[in-house]
Amino acid sequence: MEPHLVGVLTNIGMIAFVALSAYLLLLVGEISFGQQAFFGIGAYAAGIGTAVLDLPLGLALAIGAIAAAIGQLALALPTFRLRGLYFAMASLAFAEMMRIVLELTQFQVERDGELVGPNGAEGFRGIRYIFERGIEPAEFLLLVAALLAATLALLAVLERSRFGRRLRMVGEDELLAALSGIDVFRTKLAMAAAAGALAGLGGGLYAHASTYIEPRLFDVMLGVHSLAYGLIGGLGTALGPLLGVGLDIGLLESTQMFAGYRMIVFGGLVAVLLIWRPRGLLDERLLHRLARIGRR
Amino acid sequence: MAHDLAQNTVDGLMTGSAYAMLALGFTLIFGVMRRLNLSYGPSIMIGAYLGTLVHLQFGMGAAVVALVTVLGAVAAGFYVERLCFAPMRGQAATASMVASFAIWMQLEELATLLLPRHSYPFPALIARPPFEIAGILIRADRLLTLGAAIAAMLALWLLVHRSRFGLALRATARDRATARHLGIDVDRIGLIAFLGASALGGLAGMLVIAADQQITPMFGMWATFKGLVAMMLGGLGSIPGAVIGGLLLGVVEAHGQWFFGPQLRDLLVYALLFLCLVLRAGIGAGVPSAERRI
Amino acid sequence: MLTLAGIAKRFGGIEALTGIDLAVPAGSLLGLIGPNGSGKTTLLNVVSGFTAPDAGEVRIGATEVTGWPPHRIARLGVGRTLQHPRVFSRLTVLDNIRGDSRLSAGEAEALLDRFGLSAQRGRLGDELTIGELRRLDLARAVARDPRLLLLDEPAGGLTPSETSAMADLLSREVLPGRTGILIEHKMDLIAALCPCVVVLDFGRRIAEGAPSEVLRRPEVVEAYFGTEGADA
Repeated sequence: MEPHLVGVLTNIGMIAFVALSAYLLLLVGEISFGQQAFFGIGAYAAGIGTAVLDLPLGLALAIGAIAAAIGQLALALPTFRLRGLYFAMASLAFAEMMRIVLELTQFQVERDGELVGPNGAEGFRGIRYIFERGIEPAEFLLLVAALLAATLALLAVLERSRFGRRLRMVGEDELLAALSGIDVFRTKLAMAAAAGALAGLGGGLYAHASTYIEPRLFDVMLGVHSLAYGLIGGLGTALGPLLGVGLDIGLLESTQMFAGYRMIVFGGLVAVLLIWRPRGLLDERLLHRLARIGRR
Repeated sequence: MAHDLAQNTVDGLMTGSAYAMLALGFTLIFGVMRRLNLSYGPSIMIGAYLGTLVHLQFGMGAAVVALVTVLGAVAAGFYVERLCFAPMRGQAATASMVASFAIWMQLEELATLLLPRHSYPFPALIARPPFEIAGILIRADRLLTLGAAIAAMLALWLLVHRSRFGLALRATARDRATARHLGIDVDRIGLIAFLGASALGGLAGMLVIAADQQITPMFGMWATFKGLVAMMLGGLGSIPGAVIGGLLLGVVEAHGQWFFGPQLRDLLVYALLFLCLVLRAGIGAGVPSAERRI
Repeated sequence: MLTLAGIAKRFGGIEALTGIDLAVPAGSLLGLIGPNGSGKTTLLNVVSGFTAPDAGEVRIGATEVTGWPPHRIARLGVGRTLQHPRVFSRLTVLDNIRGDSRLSAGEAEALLDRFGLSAQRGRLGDELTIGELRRLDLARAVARDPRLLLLDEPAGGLTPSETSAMADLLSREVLPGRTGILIEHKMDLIAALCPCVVVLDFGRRIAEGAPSEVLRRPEVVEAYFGTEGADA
C-alpha cells in the first residue's frame, strides 16, 4: 500500500476512537466538549508506559485506556446530574484544566543517555516503541484496524441487546427511563467509563504512531471535531461517527480537495447537513427503515 | 502589596468589562433561543477583519473602522442565525450548536483568506498615555470599555424589562409555544435578539482590539471562550449575572496572572467555572430550571 | 398495600400537599379527584419517587420507600402512566414495550396484542395518535407486571367512544389482581372503576367516600365550581 494512504487510514482509525467516545456519551444524552482530555490522558499514560517504564505496547495501551476511563469517571461523578449545556461546559472546563496540568507535568528519566518523558509545554518526545521494534506503518495500521473492528463488533452486539435499548431510553428521556426501572445515573456512569477507555485507547495509539505529543494537540478543536463526527455521520449506529471521520479526514483533509478553502466548504456542508438531518446521515429513522427492508 | 491588589483589581475590572459585554451578547441569544452560538466570537472577528481591511486599504480612521466592525459582526451574525438557528426547530439544539461550530471553522478560514498574516495593526480609539488616580494607573480606552459595558447593561435591561419588545422577548424566552399562540412572531424575535447580540459583540470586540491595537486570527476563539465562561460564572441567562460574571472573570484573571503566572491563572479560571457548574450556583442565580414537567 | 402518612410538600411559598394520609388496600383502585392544581399529580410524583416529600412517610406493602429514587420504586413493582403521555420516539413501539424488561419479543408482542397495538408494532414512537399513545403508555406501565399502578388521567384527551374503550381495557387487562390510584376528570370512569374516591383541594384532603356520595357533598361541589368563580 502507498505510504500516504497508510498514514491517512491510520489517522482515521485513531481519530475514530475519540469520535466513538463522544458518540457513546451522545447516546445517553450527554454532549461532551471534553473528550480530547481523555484522548490526551491515554496518549500520555501509554507513552510513559513504553518510553519511560519500558512496558510492552499492549500493556501500555491498556494502562492508557484505564487511566482515561478513571479520568472520565472522575469528571462524570460530580457532573452527570447536570443536564445538557451545564455538562457540556463542565466537560470543557475539565478538559482545559487537564491540558494545563499536562503543560505543567514534568516527568523525565534518562534512557540511553537521553531524557525521555513529558516535559511540560515542550511536549513528550521519543515514544519510539514502533521504530525500535521495527514495526512497519502497514503493520501498525493493521493493529489499529483490528482494534477498531473489535470495538465496532462489540458495540454492534451491545446495541442489539437489552443494555443497548436501555442506553437509548436514557438518552431520549431520563424520566421515562427511570419509570421503567432503569438506574439512569449508573447507566450513564457505565457509558462514561466505556467512553473514557475508548478515547484513551485511541490516544495511546496516536502517541505511538506520531512518537511526539504535546498538550496543545489535545485542545478544544479536537473535542468539538469528535463531537461533530457523530452528529454528521449519524447517531443511529456506531458506524455513524466512523463515517463522519472518514468524510472529514479521508475525503477533505487528505485529498487536498478545496485546498486553501477546505473549512469553508466543510463548515458549510456540515451546517446544511444538520438542517436536513439533525441527528446525522445514519440516524435512527434511516436505520429503522433499513431494518424494516431487511426483515422483508 | 495593597497597591498591587488595588491596581490588579482595577485592571481586572477594565478587562472584565469587555468580558461582560461578550457575556451579555451570549446571554441575549441563549435567553431567547436556549441554544449556544459557538460562532459568536468568530462573527465578531469577521467584523473586526473587515474593519482592519478598510483601515489598511483605504486608510480609514478609528470611527469608520469601528462602524465597519460592528456592521460586519451583525452581517456575520445574520448569516449564522439564518443557517444554524432559524432552520432548526424543536429538539435540535445540539444540531444548532454543532452547526455553529462548523460555521466557526468557516468564518475563521474566511478571515485568514481576507488577511493572511498572523497579525495586523488596528487603529486605537484613544491614543493618550494612561493617567493616575490615587496612585492607580488607568487607561482611558479601558475606562471607555467599562463605561460602554455599563451603558450596554442598562440599555439591555431597560429594553428587556421596560419595553413592549422586551415583553415579547421574555414571553418567547419563557415559553416559545405559548408566545406563538399569543401572536408573537417568535422567529423574528429570535433574529432581532441575535442581531442585537452581534452588534453588542461587535462593539465589545472593537473596544478590545482597539485597546490591543492589533488583531490575530485567535480572536474568535478568545471571544467565544471569554463570553461563554463569563456567562456561566454569572449563572446562565440573567443580565446582571452576565455583567457580574464578566467582571469577576476579569478580576480573578488579573490577580491570578499577578500571583501565579499565565498557566495557573487559566487553571484557576477553569477550576472556578467547573465549581460553579457543579454546584449549579452562578452568581446571578440564573433562570428557573427548564426541566420538563410530568 | 400503599400507605401514605402525613405527606407534606412545599414548592417555594406554595403548599402543594399538606398532611396527606391515605391507605389503598390491596386489590382496590382508589380514585383521586380534585380541581386542577389541587396536588393530585404531585402526590403521584411523591409515591413514584420523582418528588421527595418534605415530611411524611410512603409505604408500599411493608417497605418504607420515602425518598427512594424512581427506578428503585419502579423495580419494587410500581407502574406509572403520565398525564401527558410520553414514549421513546426513536424506538419502535415493540421496543418501547420491551424497554428494559426481560420480556422476550414474543411476550412483548402478546402484550401489544392485548392493548390493540399489534398493527403499530414496527412504527416509531412519534408516529402514533393520542389514543394509541395512551394505550402504549399503559402497556409500558404494566410491562413489568407491577403490583401497584399509578394512573394519571389515562382517558385525558380521548373521545367518548375511546374513553369507554379505555374503561374496558382497564377493567379487562390492567386492573385485575392489582392495586392502584386513578386520577381522572371524567367522573363516569371514576364511578365505573373506583369503589372509593379521595378529593384533594389546595393540597389538602377534603373528602373521602363512594363516588356517587362524595360528589354530592357541598365542600366538594364548592372546590370544583367555587363560590368565587376564579377557583374553578
